[in-house]
Amino acid sequence: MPEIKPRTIVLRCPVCFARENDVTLFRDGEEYYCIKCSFTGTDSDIRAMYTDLRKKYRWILKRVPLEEQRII
Amino acid sequence: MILNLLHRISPGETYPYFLLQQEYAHQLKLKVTLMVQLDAMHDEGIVAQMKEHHQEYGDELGLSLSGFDSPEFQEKIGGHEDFIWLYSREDKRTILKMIVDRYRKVFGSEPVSAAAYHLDASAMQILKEICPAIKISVAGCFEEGVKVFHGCNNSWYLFNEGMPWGPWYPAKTHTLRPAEDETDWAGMVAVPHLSRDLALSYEGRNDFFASHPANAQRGLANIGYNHPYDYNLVDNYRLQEDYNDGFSYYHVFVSPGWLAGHPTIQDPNEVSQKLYQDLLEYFAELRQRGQMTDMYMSEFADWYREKMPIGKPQVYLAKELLYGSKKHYFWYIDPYCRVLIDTNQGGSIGDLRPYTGKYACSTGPDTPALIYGSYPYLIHSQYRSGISHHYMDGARTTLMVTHSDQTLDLATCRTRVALVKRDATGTHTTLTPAKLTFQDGLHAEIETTYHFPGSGQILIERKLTALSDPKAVLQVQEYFKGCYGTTEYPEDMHGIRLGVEGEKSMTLKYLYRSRVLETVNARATSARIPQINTEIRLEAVDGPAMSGKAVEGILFNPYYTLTLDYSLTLGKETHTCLRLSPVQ
Repeated sequence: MPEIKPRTIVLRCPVCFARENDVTLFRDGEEYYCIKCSFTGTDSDIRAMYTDLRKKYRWILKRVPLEEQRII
Repeated sequence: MILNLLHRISPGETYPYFLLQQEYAHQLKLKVTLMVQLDAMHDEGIVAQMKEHHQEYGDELGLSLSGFDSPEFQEKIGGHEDFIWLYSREDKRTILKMIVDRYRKVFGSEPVSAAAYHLDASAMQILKEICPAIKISVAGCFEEGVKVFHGCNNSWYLFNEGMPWGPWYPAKTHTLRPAEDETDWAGMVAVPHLSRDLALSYEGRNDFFASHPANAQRGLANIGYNHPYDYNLVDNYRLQEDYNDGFSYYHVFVSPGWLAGHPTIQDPNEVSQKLYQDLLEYFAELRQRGQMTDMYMSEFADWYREKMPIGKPQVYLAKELLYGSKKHYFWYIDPYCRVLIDTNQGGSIGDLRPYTGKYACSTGPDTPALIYGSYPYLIHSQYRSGISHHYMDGARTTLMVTHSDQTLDLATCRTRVALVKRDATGTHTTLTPAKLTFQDGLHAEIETTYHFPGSGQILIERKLTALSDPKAVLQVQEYFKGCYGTTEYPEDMHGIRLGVEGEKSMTLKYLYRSRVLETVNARATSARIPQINTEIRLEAVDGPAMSGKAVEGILFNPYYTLTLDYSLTLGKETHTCLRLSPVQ
């Protein structure tokens, strides 16, 4: 059976993600850069932008059970 | 709600994650259907383990129509195409025979279920011919096409939009079209790959918003271990029992790679695994409460054949539950059409597929369609402009309401679904009134009801339910702007015939010259589209309308527009039939 290998998480470009495109960022030292657009940033910059992107989902933490769905 | 839970067995680095998925499901005693790839059937260890899971846990074994690799495959086919629907008819036959024969050899039985992201007409016909025991297959991904192609850097060549969102009886000539009757049916039950969010998969990518926790992660719809959206979507499907005689169906088919470091997932693997486990636990909880039944694929096929007659319409009331907009979308499907009512645009039709034309399509390099397996639309307001923004509008319907030289567009009014009623005469969907206020202060409220009696007819009823000046008379225009296509780009409109019937009856052949046909006392206006074997007519139901037009488009606005004009007073109604029929 194959071994489970340790994983390095890759990051997606937050600017391209905002256009609903999955573009994997390249890395040069501490800086990540996008080959599809002109975005550059650090890991923390990118994760902060992911947090911003999630703001559009106002109900991201809201559970809407069946009974409530019936009345909205 | 009925659940089909599928796991795919592929050899290699993701195999341990497949075993993890199995462990989660077996702990909860959920019924699992295992989809086995050709390469996995050449691995003796995997085959032995699958037999063990089948015997010990009862898991159903089925065919995964991807993962083509074996010495025989390399000798007879070779190459890198991984999906059955993208091969020629001849190669489809060779590959399917190879897979079925291998299954028979290693498992000593006939497969009864199968799975492909898309199973086109020729592949389904060949599969059924080679293996008549197949009862059911995953046969398409609801609304996967243009948006996912773009979202994967223009590299994901799966175009199967315009299909049912739930289980269906696929037609022989186009497997995404629900069959009209037994003779039209391809002989197996089809189910979609995953249950998609019927609000957000229309507006955006279907692979961000589906019954697949990692898809929601891909769409950034979770925050770490918090993922209420996954449960909300399950419950939105459960809600459909209210509108479909108690029937709703949920499909989960997550490949193990999604629990193992997929490049589009930025959460740690532990999060991906826990979210998947959580979802299965919710199913077990629903089953415990008697609110969900899990079935094997073939078990569901038997249930569906017994309980669901061919041709029975299905509806879906989608409520948007992630942005928090509370938007309603209403979907209707039968063997003659699929319709999306966009209540946020006053009840405009946002997507219309004319199955009544029975457009035929197989995919593969030996077909004119090549990759494009979608069933064509007449209206797709997301791809084809919809309501006007900076320039002219595109494909959509609406009601134009005129008073004192001012015209208001009903599509600018937000409404919701107020009532869904189903009876012997069909499906009836009433919206909350659209509220309009004119510059001179006149306030009007118009209630729209769609009636779906079947046979390709959509009856549009508009009732003036409130008017601040009870004596005022409104001029209303039923408006249909159409085109045809399968992608976001316009197709060649030459050959389309437009017509009006009334005091004068005339036709024209489409030449992109912005000509207008107009008549008073209009009985009908029409467009005949031989490219997809479809005629669309707007017909005045209660005697002739005051006037009607058929308008030719131009290259910079390549559409046709059909209208009927009426007067409307307080408490009165207009009735228009939007009729779809095959070109005679």
